[in-house]
Amino acid sequence: MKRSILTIVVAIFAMATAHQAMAWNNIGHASIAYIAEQHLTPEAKQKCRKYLRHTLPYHASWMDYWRNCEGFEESNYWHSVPVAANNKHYKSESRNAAYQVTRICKKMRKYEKLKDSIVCDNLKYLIHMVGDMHCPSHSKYVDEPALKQGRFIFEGKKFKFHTFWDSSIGFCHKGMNCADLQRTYDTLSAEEIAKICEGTPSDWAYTNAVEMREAHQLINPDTDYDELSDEQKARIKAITEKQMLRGGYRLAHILNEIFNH
Amino acid sequence: MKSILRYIAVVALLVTGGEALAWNRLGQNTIATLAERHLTAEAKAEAHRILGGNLASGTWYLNDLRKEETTKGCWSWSFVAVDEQLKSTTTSPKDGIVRLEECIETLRHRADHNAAEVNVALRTTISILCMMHNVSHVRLANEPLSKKNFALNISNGKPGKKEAISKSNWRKFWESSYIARHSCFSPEMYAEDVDLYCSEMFAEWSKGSPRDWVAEFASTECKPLYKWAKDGYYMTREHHNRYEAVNDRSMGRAGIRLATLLNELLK
Repeated sequence: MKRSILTIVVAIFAMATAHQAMAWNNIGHASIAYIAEQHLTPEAKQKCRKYLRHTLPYHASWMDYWRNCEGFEESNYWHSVPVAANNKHYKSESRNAAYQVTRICKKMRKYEKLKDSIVCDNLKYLIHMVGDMHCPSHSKYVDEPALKQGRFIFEGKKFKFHTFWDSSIGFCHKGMNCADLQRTYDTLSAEEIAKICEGTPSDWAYTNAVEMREAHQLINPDTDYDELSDEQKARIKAITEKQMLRGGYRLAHILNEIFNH
Repeated sequence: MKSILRYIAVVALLVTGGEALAWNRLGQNTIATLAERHLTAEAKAEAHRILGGNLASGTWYLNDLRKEETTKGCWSWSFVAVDEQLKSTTTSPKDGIVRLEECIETLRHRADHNAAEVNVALRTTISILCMMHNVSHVRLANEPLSKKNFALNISNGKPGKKEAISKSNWRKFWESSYIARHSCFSPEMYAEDVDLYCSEMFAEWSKGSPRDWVAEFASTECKPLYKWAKDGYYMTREHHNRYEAVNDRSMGRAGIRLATLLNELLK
C-alpha cells in the first residue's frame, strides 16, 4: 500500500516537473527535422511548406522558444514522456509528449477542415514533440528520480545528466551542422526505415523507454567523459545517432500519413 | 600603469575583435547564398570570375578591412542615413550608400578599371548591401536612438526566480540573436528558408534604386521599431520571438536586392 502511494506521489512529481526539461538542443531538433524533410513525399513537403512558410528545421525549436509565453503554458508540459516502472507511459495523462503526438495526429486527419493557422501550429508541435520523444533524457522514469540529480563532466564542465543528453548530438559531432549530420547518418535502406516506423507513437515511447533506461546506466553520476572507455564513448555516440534517425524517420512517416491521407 | 592600460586595451580588442559589422558570418553568408539562388547564369559566372569564388567569399570584406589601421574608417560604410522624410539624400562619403554608388559605377564601367579595383568594388557592394539591410545600421534623422548602440535587457522568459536577464545591445541583438537560433544551419539551408518566407515579396522589393531601397527599408521595418525601443529596454521572450519575422524579411530584402543589382550590372 505504502509502496503504491509512494509510486503515485513520485509519478505526480515527475509529471509536475517534466516541463523543466529543455529537450534536444537546437542542433538535435533541427537535424531530426532536416532528416524528416528528406523523407517527405513531394505532396507532404509541399503541404508542409504551404502551411509553415518555412522548412521543417526552421521551426524545430519553436516550442522551446514559446514554452513560457502567454497562451502556451499548457504546452510547457508536452516536452517529455512520463514512464512507469514497467516502461509504459501514462497514456491517459495529457502532460505527455506521446499522448499529445497521438492527439494531434488524430486531429490532423481532417486538416483540410482546420484553419491554416491551426494546421501550422499543429505541425510545429509535431516537429518538436516527435524530436523530444526520442531524446534520451525525455523518458521520465517515475521510479528513478535520482537520475535528475546526476552530474556528468564534459570538457571540464559539470552538466546535469539531462543537459548532457540534451546536448549529446552537438557534443558527439562537433563542427557538424544539421546538413552534415543528415548526409553522414541518413543512410538506412527503405526496408530499415519502414521497420523503424512500424507501430504507433505509444509503441515508440515504450521502445525508447526500455532502451534509454539502459542508456542511462552507461554513465555513473559524477563521471568525467574523458575517463570513459572508447567503447562507452562509442555507445553514447551511437545512441544519439540512432535516436536522431528514429526521430527523423518517424516524423516524416507521421507527416506523410497526414498529407497523403 | 601604462602596461595595465595596454593590457586592458589588448583584452578589449580580443573580446570585440570577432564582432561582425552587421550580420554575423552565417547571416552574411546566408544573404550571399540567397542572392546566388536568384542570379542569372551570366551574372553568376561573371561574379565568380571577378571574385575567384562565390558571393559568400566577398561578404566579409569590410569586416577584414576595418581591422587594418589604414582602412579602419571603412566602418562608417556599414551605416546608411535617412533624412526627416525617411529618404536617402546624403552625399557624405562616409555613408554606405555613397560608397555603394561609387562601387556600382566601377562595376558598370569595369572595362575601364583594373581587376583589383573591380574585385574591391564587387566585394564592397556585397558587404554594403548586406549591412544596409540590418535595422541597427540605418540611422534615422528624427530618431536619435537609431544613431546609438543602446542597451537591451533580454529575458529568457522563465517565470519567477528562474528568469534570467541577458545584457545585450541594439546592434548585437539584430546582428546575431535570431541567427543564433539557426546556428546549426548551413547557409544553403537558411537561404532556402528566407527564400520560402519572402518569395511573395521579391518582385516588390526589387523595384527602384539602392536609395529607394534604403528609404523603403527605413520606413517599413526600422521606423516602427523606435515606437518601443529605448535605452535599457526590457524585452520579454514573447516580444523577442515576434520580431524574428523582421530579421527574416531584412535578410530577404538584402539577398534579393543584391541579386537584382548584380543581374543588372554583370551582364
